[in-house]
Amino acid sequence: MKNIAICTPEISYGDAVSNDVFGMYNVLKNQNFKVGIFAENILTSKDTVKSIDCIYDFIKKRDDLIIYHLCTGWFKGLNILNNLDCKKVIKYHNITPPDFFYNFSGEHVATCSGGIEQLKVITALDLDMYLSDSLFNMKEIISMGVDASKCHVVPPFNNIEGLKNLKPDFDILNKYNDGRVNILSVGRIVPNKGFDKLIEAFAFYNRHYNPGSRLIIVGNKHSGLSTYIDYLQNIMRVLNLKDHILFTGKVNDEQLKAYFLVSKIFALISYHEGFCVPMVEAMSMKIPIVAYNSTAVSDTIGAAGIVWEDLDADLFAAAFNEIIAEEEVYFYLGETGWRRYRDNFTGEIIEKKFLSLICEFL
Amino acid sequence: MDNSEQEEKYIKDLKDKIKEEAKKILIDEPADKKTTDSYQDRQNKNIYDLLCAAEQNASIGADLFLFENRFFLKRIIYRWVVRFLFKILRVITVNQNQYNLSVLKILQTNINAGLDLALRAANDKTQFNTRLAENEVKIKNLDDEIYYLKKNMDYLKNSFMQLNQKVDDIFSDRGRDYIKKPGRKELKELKSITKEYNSDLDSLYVFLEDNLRGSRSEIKNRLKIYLPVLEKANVGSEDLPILDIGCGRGEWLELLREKNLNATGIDINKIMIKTCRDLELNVVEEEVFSYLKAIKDGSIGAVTGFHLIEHYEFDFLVELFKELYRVLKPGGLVIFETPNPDNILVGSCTFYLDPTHNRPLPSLLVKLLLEAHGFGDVSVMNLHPNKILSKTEESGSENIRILNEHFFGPQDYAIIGYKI
Repeated sequence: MKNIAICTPEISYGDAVSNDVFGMYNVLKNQNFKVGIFAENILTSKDTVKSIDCIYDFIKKRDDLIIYHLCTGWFKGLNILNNLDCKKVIKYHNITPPDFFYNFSGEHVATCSGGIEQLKVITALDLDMYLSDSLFNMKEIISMGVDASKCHVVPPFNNIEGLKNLKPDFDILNKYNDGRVNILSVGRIVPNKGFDKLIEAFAFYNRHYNPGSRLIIVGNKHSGLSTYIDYLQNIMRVLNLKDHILFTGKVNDEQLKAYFLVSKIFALISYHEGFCVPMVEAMSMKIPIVAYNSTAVSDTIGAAGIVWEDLDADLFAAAFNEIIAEEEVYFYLGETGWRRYRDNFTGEIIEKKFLSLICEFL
Repeated sequence: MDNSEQEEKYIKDLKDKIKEEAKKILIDEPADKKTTDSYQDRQNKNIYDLLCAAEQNASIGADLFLFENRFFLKRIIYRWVVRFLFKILRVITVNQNQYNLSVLKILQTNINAGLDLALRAANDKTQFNTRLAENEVKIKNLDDEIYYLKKNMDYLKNSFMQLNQKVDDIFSDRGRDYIKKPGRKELKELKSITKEYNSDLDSLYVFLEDNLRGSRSEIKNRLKIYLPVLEKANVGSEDLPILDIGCGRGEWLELLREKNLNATGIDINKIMIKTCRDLELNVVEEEVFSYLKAIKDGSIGAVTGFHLIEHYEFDFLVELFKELYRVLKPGGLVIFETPNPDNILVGSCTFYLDPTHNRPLPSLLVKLLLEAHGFGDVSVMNLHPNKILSKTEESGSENIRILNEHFFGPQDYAIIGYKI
């Protein structure tokens, strides 16, 4: 029997890469394979996750398989790829270019630069298969010299089915279902997510169309990026929007669901995305999406939302207004988003795609 | 159009609409709103508040209060002491106050200058947006103008092409021979050659057809209705080809080719023939009778003519039907589509939009004419009811029903007859 090790630098609760790791684990486990998750930073209590150092006891045969989640620089992981003699599959989640962090965090610049360097090494290793979250990611890998026949797109496993069956947080529902229009954005508070532009677009909407509107930004604030938080706070102060914007910080699934339920629009003005799971979550809940067409955004959203090619705040604001003012548009976008989720991103579809590709190693 | 195309189209239209709305907001915004309500102004207000506070603080030391609420003696002592201290303080702080106030004044002047600039920039932006909108309208008008100029140019180009051809032919070997030997007979023949090209009307007709008939894809779509009729008659093979008289731009021939049916088109309009040849369609530039003359009896599967017979004189039509009956194989068929004069608007107006039309042909007349020439199983297919106008409510009245039929009924009909 072959052993399968799923490796990731960090595993935590609610993180997109972690959800993908657990999704793969569950699928392979259900197929009765001997699977283990190995990580360096373990921020979850799940006992299925083992320290990365234990991997040498688990992967011993040439036929065993490593599925390596590539999302940042990780020297220990690179050593494992070099040292272990077995089948190796990469799951590429994208590495954010360091440029976004230059003004805000040296630590992030170093991590991302390290990630980019390692990506060069890993793409040169000519491993057995390279899976990517999106077409955008796959093209990036191919452009770095990987044989295109070894590259495939498999969307990341998500926790949407779990989210759907969950009861939302009623306190949040009661508090924010107050008649004001809520616009939601979900993502870690990092510079590549373009929250500065989102705030500007919201300011435009708030000023010109709906002074009672509220922007809810759900996402973890990173302690090393306090300069970026200050920068956003300054923009809010200058635009006089402190009472209209809510930063929730990290939330649990019940709270996340509640924020989705109280919101009318999902807005994403991100400069760099490898896939964007929250967008799929919004689709699954029939929330219309307005987004900026950068990197992998259009791969994920397709024609199921309003995607702008330019960063014009007035266009985003007018789009918010159109969706809120025209009930037909609101429902149409909700419905097309849901159809896109149903046809492309359900657990069943992702599982089928993943197994069909990985089966050649099993 | 499949689902994803529809979705993309919906989003595209929606985005265009939103862009328009956004533009309106930027242009329509009144100037006073900009200057009183903008974020910049809220910020300015904050700056002014800060300046006022600074001004007050800067003056500290200039006016100290006196101790008025004390007992008389104490008050006198306090007053002397305080006045003394105050004088000392003034000596110390007077320069500082002046300095503070000067700095504040400089600041205030700079801020005012900045605000002026901001205000000017805001006004410039409004003007810019207005000009942008104006220019966009102008560009749209220019686009329209270019479109019509281009159309006219095509028309002129076609005319020029014909003229050129005419000159070439006249001075070709054939023409030169006639000119060299200008006998009476030769002159007559030369005249017939030049007459052949006396068709400046060709390009005019192309121009009219381009503008009045409809786009290529529209026509192709409309003609699809006849495919099942041909299929049923089992024609279009090598042995039983289809002949399309007055093939025009070749939409029908193209459709037949797509269905792998064997067909030939004939037309006398050189430009139409060239268009068909560019599309590699099988066409012959020849007048119908001379073409049919060379066709054996019973050798054609079907003859079609769309918006053709209304161009002919009556005696020409009679001759044509006779000839067609001859060349068709038994079981073969004719299909002719023509404007329907039963529709009053067609009969009285739209029929005459084409100056080359001869006379409207009521379906009954054509039906009888075909039957008189031996065609059987003759049927009339009514086509293209007027959808632009809405019918009058009938509410059971026979008169209104008849009126509706005459005004909103089929604008064309097709007549189909078989050689039995």
